[in-house]
Amino acid sequence: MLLTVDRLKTYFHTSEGIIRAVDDVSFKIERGRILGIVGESGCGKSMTAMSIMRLVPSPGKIVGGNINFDGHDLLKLSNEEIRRLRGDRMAMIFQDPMTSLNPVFTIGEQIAEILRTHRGLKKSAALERTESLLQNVGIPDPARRIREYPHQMSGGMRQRVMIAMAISCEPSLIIADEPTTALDVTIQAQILRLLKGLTDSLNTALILISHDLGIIAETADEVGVMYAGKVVEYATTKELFANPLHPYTIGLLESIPRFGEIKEDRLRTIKGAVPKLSELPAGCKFNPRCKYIIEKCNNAEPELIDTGGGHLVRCWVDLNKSKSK
Amino acid sequence: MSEKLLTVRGLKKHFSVEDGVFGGKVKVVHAVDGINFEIGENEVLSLVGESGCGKSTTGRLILRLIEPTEGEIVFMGEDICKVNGKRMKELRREMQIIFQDPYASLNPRLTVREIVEEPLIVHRIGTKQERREEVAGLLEKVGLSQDAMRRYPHEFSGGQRQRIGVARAIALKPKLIVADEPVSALDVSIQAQVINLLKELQEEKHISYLFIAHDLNIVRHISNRVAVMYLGKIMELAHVDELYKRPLHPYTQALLSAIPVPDPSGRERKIILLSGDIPSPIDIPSGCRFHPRCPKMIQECKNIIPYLEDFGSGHTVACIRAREWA
Repeated sequence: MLLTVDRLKTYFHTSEGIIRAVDDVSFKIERGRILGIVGESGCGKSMTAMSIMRLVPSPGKIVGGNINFDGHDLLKLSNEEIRRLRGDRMAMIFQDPMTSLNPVFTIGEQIAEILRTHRGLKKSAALERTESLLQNVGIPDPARRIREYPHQMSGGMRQRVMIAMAISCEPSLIIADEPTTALDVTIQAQILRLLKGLTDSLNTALILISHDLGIIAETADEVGVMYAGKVVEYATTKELFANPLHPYTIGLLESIPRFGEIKEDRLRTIKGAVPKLSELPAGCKFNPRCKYIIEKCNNAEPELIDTGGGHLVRCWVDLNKSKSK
Repeated sequence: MSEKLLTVRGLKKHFSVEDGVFGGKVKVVHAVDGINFEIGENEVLSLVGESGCGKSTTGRLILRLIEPTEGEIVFMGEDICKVNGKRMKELRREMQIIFQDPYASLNPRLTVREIVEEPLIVHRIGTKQERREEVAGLLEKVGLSQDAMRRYPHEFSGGQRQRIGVARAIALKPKLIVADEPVSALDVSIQAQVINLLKELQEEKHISYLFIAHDLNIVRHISNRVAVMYLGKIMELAHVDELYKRPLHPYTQALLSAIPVPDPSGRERKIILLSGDIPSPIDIPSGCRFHPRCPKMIQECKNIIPYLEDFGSGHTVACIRAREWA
């Protein structure tokens, strides 16, 4: 197994109390696979990614669990050791390429820097390799583009540059956090196809974080659905969309407009709002918004249980049985 | 949908930008480049398209928040570009806007009551007591409790703030609301709530919407007709079911095929992948402005500017080849 995240806990100690941004999250991913993590703002999906990269911002801290990456116990590595892995063996792509590129260096200089740092390439060799990387991610006329600055490129091109940077050392793991959210739909389709192709050709594991169930359905092999810092459902993409079992997943899928024979007049909704992590309810964190709620949900937090065939659900109500009845 | 509430003819908005650090050459951004459309009473017309296509500029133009370079905007029988300030203020009662960002569009120093009451005060409607009752009714209408009145915007979640924005927009009982990406800043589970609210109000109060959005699923749900824009021009305009079932413009076809489908079996469908980027509205391509990215491009497309042609029952398309597959 390339990456095993086990019972990861990342907490923020603030004046409002302890914020459990990531609370007991576990998953695994193998090379060549795509894991989708889906959830709304504040569900902990980005903080899970930051924890794996060991980039949790202050006052956040990883307070529990294990992350095993390619034989390394990531939480035990020194800062120097983790820095050597980051950008080399594991890389990250962020939502907004404009703020993650340095505006005062050319595209070429920024990619070449990674190659010189991690691969010890000489300047000319690094630039040569940069050119072929830009070619790989579909940037036309790379010889000219490497001399350009980020502001001279479009959003889609900048995201391609970010991807070129991420794959520059052929990492075994790429984490893409909302990589297409800032892009237009026709450009989004291009970038998703590119990411999928690269996972195949480089045999890289990809963790794709998104709020968009459509993107997850089209790209991921497996999916983890997060809510209030926890994974509430985990299954293969096919299984999750065909047979969602957690009320939150069901609600999310139902709230997307559908166009069958009869056009529904009203969209189905999940009542209430995404809770603040400092004001979570007792028991199941989803209980104030849940339409299947039973007494038990108010008192005790359910565990993530395998309902069979690797389809995990964190819910007291067995919707699998109630559905088949 | 009989009376035309709004008629837009030959609308253009060009912005001048100075090129280079020292201002040298002046270039022209063709944000909106000659568009025509109508909105009937009690009708929802959506404008869709990617960034820089001019959809938001169009929304601001028809409220005259910015002045057009050319063209006519006839609202309730009057060209709003020709009326004086006093008349414009009267007309503004009938046209309101809901913004994308519910964080930036509400004054953080006013209470919710003051925010929703402000348009009533500006237009001198009712006594203090009457206004207060009106605000209470409006908040209830949009699904907020009475104790919201005394609170400030920062105490509310994004979805609730958007409800406050909606309450303010309907306070004057307008005939037309421009809704500029009203749900795109909201969480997925909240979007459906706000869309339902907008649809309910539209049906109950017979308001027309110019609905500006890039989420094509939501557009399909809420619209009567849809106009697809690209680089400042309308490429296709049709009734919503017609457009989604029989898109005729290659751009519309690509746009619809690129919507991610929340169903893994949808992976089998054919996605029309467009090559290249959206060109800058400063350097508009010759002929058909979509030709550099069009998978169906032929030599003539580089020279001939296509006009919107009628393909029956109000389905208009600006493509010289559309007849071949219509």
